[in-house]
Amino acid sequence: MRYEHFETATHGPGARRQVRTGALARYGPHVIVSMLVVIVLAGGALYTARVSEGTPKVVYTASLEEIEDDSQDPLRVDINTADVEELDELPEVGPSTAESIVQYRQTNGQFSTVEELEEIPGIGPATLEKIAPFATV
Amino acid sequence: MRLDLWAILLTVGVVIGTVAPPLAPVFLVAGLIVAVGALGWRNLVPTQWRLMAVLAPLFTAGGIVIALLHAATPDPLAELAAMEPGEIVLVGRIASPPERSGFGYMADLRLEHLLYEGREVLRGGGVEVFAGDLSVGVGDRIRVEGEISRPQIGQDGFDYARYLATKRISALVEATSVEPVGEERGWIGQIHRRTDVALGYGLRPREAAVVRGMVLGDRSLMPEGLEKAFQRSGVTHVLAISGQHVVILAGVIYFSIRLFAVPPTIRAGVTLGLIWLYILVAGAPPSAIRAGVVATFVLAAPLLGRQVSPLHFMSTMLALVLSYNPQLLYSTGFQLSVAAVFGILLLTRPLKSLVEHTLLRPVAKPPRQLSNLISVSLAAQLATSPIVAATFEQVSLVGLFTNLVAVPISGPILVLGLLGSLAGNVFPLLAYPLNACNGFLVTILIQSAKGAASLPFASVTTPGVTLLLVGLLYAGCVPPIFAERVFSSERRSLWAALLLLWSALWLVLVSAGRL
Repeated sequence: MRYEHFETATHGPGARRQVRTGALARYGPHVIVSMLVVIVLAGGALYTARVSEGTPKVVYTASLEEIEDDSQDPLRVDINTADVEELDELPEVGPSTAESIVQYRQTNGQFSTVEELEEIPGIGPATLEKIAPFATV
Repeated sequence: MRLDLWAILLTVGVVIGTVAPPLAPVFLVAGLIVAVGALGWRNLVPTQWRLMAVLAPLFTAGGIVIALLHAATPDPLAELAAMEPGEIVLVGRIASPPERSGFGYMADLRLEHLLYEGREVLRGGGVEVFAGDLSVGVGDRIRVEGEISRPQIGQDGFDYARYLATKRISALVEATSVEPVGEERGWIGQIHRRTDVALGYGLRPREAAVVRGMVLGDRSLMPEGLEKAFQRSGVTHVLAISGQHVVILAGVIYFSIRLFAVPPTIRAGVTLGLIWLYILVAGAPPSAIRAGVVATFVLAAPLLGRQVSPLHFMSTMLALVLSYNPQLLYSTGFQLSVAAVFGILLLTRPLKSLVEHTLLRPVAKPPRQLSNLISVSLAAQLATSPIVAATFEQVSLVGLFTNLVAVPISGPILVLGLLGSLAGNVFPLLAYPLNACNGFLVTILIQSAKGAASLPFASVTTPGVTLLLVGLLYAGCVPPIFAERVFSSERRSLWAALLLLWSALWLVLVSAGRL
């Protein structure tokens, strides 16, 4: 009878649970402190690398609108005042078409709308569609 | 239950994550296998180390995560510099004393604002400023105009960008204009300037430059020839703010305060405060920070009821400092400092045993200080030689002998230099006798260095030392370290003698280009 009790106390599932609970109680603080050490050091590294004053940070980047504005300014060509070289920068417009635009302007006076460019030989509706965003009067 | 290895494991994780990230999973898996093995098989590791084995992957993984966190940090300053955008304007504070460079001077600048085309685009980070004239001191706030660029790899293969990264510097600026901002000057710079003036009372410029180097770690006024003589004779380390400086200073302050029967807690607090103030004034080089952290542990341990364990303190210092800046692994000053201390801690005893059984055998009762001095000097030289050989391609052969003079004399020079600097600021007349005594000691140091450097065999050139060769020499240090724990005193001497022979052979073969 005694032997059976002994067996139960040392080898039974309850005993195993007790050993596990004992180990957890005994080593739990060590494990928690170890984890805290690693977390604090990693947190310090994160702060040093990303947050602290010494880390370079971008304080200004151009917004999309600014980039658009910056990029559109030089590409907006006034077809009433631009010379051959400036007109040449328009899409689908080569030196000869640019010459034609200047001649048309000299003959017929200033353009009242961008769409009038269709009157120029070599500029059809498709070409005008590409030119329109970059041309102004 | 012992957890002593936690700092070493975390350091290993940081090193692997920084130097060889692809190997990180291998180390993690190895750690996990050990942990699972320790959990499942009771006899795999001794009982007292079982918990350490189980927690090994946690610390290694922590180190790897820390390294990767640093590595993954974007550096917009470096990105901007790589674009070489042309003229920029910087506002920031000088972080290092100006040094001579190829053209003019250079100094580190901690950035506050970076302006491009009249608009502030960046804040924070650091740059190295090159300028024809740089009459500024540490802490001065300045405005710099110039062109920004990325550091290049030199023709000799020197990775300048990596070197600057150890100081958290991302770019170079060739300045066209440097102007102070406001009237205020940095207090560290003012201390440097006042020290210069104070050391001028009774010291010739050459001796003053050496004392300045030893007190402030600023060698910018050292004549080039003298600096080379120090290097060739193996005593350059006395000019760098290192553990030796911190130990001397801590000892002097601590025991001076003890004379007034100050309680231990206040004594330790005052000593630590003054040490860290000194480290800050000296520009906080990595070697001084390392020594400062260890000194803090040593002084705080008795107050907290902890054992003073130099090896454990060193490994904990490594874990802390490398977590803050893993790039320090590439800093030669840091490498030398760590190697020297580990060499002294691990190799002194076997070497002392050898010295007592051979060199000092004829002496009936060899003075302990002499055997200590020789063995400590030898241990530090052995431990640092591979790094010196790989970095500077020159190893001093007379260093062991010159250090027998330089190491003991550097303590009084440092203390007298500090006292002379203080006295010169308070009551200049007091500085003259202090500086005169120091001048005598510095002259002995200079003459020893110059005399040793003039010998034809003072140093050997060591071209092409690879990481593998460095590892080979360090592998030779392993048997004496373990013999120290296993064998009797006679056997320790034998292993130490074998280490010396191995080192000599290594040096001969490396200098002859045979390895």
